[in-house]
Order: sequence, then C-alpha cells, then structure tokens
Amino acid sequence: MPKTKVPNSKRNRDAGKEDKLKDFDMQLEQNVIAYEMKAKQDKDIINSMIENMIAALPRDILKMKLSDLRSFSQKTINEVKNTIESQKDLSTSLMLSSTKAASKTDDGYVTEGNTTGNSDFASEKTIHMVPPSQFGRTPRIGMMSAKAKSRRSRSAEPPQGSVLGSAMKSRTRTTATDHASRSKLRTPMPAARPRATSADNEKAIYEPKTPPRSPSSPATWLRWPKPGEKIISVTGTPLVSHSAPEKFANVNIPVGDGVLSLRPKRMDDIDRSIVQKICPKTMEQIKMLQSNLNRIMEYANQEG
Amino acid sequence: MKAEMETSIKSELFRELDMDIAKKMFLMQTHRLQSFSTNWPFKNTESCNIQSMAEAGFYFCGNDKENDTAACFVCGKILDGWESTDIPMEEHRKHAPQCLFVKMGKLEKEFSIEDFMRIFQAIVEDKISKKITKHKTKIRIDCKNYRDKFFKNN
Repeated sequence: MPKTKVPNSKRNRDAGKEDKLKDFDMQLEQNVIAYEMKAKQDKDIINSMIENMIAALPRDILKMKLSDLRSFSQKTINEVKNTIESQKDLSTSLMLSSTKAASKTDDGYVTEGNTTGNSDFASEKTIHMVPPSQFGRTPRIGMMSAKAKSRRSRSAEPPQGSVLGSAMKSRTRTTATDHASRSKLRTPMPAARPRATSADNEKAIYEPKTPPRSPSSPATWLRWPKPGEKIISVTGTPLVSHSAPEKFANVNIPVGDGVLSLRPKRMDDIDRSIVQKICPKTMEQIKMLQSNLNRIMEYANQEG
Repeated sequence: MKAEMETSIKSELFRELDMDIAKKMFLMQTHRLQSFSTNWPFKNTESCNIQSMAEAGFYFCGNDKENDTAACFVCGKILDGWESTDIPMEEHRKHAPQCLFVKMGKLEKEFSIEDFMRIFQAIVEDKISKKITKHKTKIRIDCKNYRDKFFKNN
C-alpha cells in the first residue's frame, strides 16, 4: 500500500541534527554543574579539615613564632604539645606548693569530692547505658552492680507469697509488670526489622511467637491490689485480697510491716513492740477512732 | 614493636612529604628565594632585588626569555615588567589587595604558627579553585571538539 512520501530534504535532516545538538549541549551543561557542585563539596571538606587542624592545636602553639618553635628540640608537633603541657603542669604544681597550707587542704578536699562525684556519676551512667539484656554479663563496680544483681534475681522468680505461685511455674511466659522497662527492651520490634519481600517471609514475621492460650485467662501475675483499690474478677478467677470484708466489727491498724487487725475477741496480751512500730500519724488516727468508738458507746449506753 | 616501627616510618614519610609540599608551595621565604634564577634583571643593591621580592611573597615563574616574571605564593598573581625602583610589597598591594599575605602585612619572622596555617589554608583553597576552573574549561573544550567531530560526520 503506497503512502505519502515525505521528502528527505536537507532541512528535515538538519532539524533532527539541531535537536541532537541541543540535547548534547543540555547534558553537557548539567554534567558540568554536577561536577562543579561535587568539586565545591570536596573543597569544603578539605577546608574544614585544615580548620580542624588549626582548632586542634593549643593556643600557646598557635601564638608561637616559627623561631620559637624551632628552639624546641622535638621533631613533631605532638612532642612539642606534650612538652608544653608538662611545663604547664610543673608551673601549676610550683604555684600550689607556694600557697598556704590551709588552702592546700581545701584544694585537696575539693578535688577529692569532685573525683568521687564524677566516678559515682560515671558508674551510674554506665548502668543506664548498658541494655538490660546484658545484665550479669557486663562487669560493674560498687553498689550499683549489687543492686542490679538483686533486681535480676527477683524478676526471675515468681512473686513472693503468691497463691498462684505454683501455677505460675508451669507457665512459659512469666513477666512481671513492675519490670516493664526490661520486658519492653527485650521484645523485638517488628517495625524496626527489614520488610520481607516474599509472602512466605511475611507470614513468618506475623506468626504468633507465644504458645496459644485462652484470651480470658491472665497472661501474667500482675500485682497485689493497693489499699483503697477495688479489684473485680471479670471471668470469675479467684482473687487474692488482703482487705477481705468480714462480717464482724473489726479495726485494722497499719503497723510498720503489716496490719494489726483487732477482732471482737478478748486479747490476752499485747506485744509492746507493736506500739513502737505505729507511726505518729497513725497514732492520731487511732485516737480519733477511739473517740468515735467512745461516742458511739456513750450513745448506745444512753439509749440502753 | 612492629606497630611502633610502622608508625615511626609513617611519621618520617609524612615529614618528608610535608617539607616537599611546603617547598612546592613556596611557603617559606627561603623556598621563594631559591626559585629566583641568577638572571633576575636587578642587582641586590637595587630596590627590586630578589630578597625583597621573596619577602613580598613572590617566587620566580618565568623562563630565559621572560626573566622578570614572578607570582605570589598565596594569591597566585603573576606580575612582570618590573622596574629597578619598584618596591615589591607596594606593587603586590596595588595589584592584589585581596591577597591574605598583603592583608596580614607582616614579614615572615613576625608570623605566628596560626598565620602560617591560615596562609596554608588560603593557598590550598586557591589551588583547588583554580584546578576546578581549569577542569571545567577542559571539559567544555573537549566536549565541543567531540561534538563538532561527531555531528559533522552524521
């Protein structure tokens, strides 16, 4: 099938050539600009390197004349630096020795305090910086390491005096919430991992890692209820409460390490040490309680 | 022991390298002084002698034909056509007032280490800038030649 012939004129050919030339020029310009930018970056890097070199030299050396520097027998700048520093130390020590004895002791005291403070701070800092997963492996010094050790042993076993203690032992996941920071750091975060490309790998990432369990049963032993907190069992799990309501009149007094519960029974003898354990604030409350009880008894006697 | 030896060799190498670079840069007055050939047109008694040329930061960059051409070691300004009564430092100030060496306005013996470092920095910066410009021009010329050659044939 014939088609209209496009004359292959010189002008047409030239037009194509022009385009190509334009394209070439454009690309050349772009590349030159890119080269210039890269070169300027490198120049800045070198410039900052020299700037750092100058900044690294101590002021004493920078202010020195070349003839002064030549008077040193040392060959490298570092050696000169060391010499100057040792000279400085010498002069300061001379100054110290010339001062009075009183100021000397003062100085000593300040330095010692400062150093101990610093070391304490340092050891504390190392402990904060060490990830909890490394506890026990990293050697540490002083009291803080002992603390860390005790913390570890406590979290490893189930809560003391727990009724569910035996039941807990059989569970694979035992995490105490009062060590939330530890478990938080230990749990690998899926978001931080590189994304899997294939479907199989993706499946592997989102698969549950813990053995399946009933959603209604609690995963962990949480904690004792605090005084004044209400505890409610949603599914009827037996609850442990230290303040179980009883069906007879009683008085509970918090003593240093526990609660003194007075029952409506005749007491034979009172341990006198208990009275010492009661704090003055509680003592006032007991007095108020006593006056209230007395008033109730007064009214009761009047009625009767 | 081996590491010590290595570091000592390295430092030795670097020191040689440093001295070499300093000489190439004409960083010291002596280096500049050495560059002047014996056929510098002015005598030592005249004001435009090689001693004052080197003091003013100039090194010789001419040849047998152009035996009065000198350049500044910091700004790279090339000057020729010197006259015997010229004061090199004055001429330097007149022709290149932006030069760091001129701005400092000191003799080498008054230079502090920091001054030397700043001068070194300026030289390096200037050299890199010049090299970049040179490269850019070369790229343009090469590409233009290629463009002409290629598109002529097609």
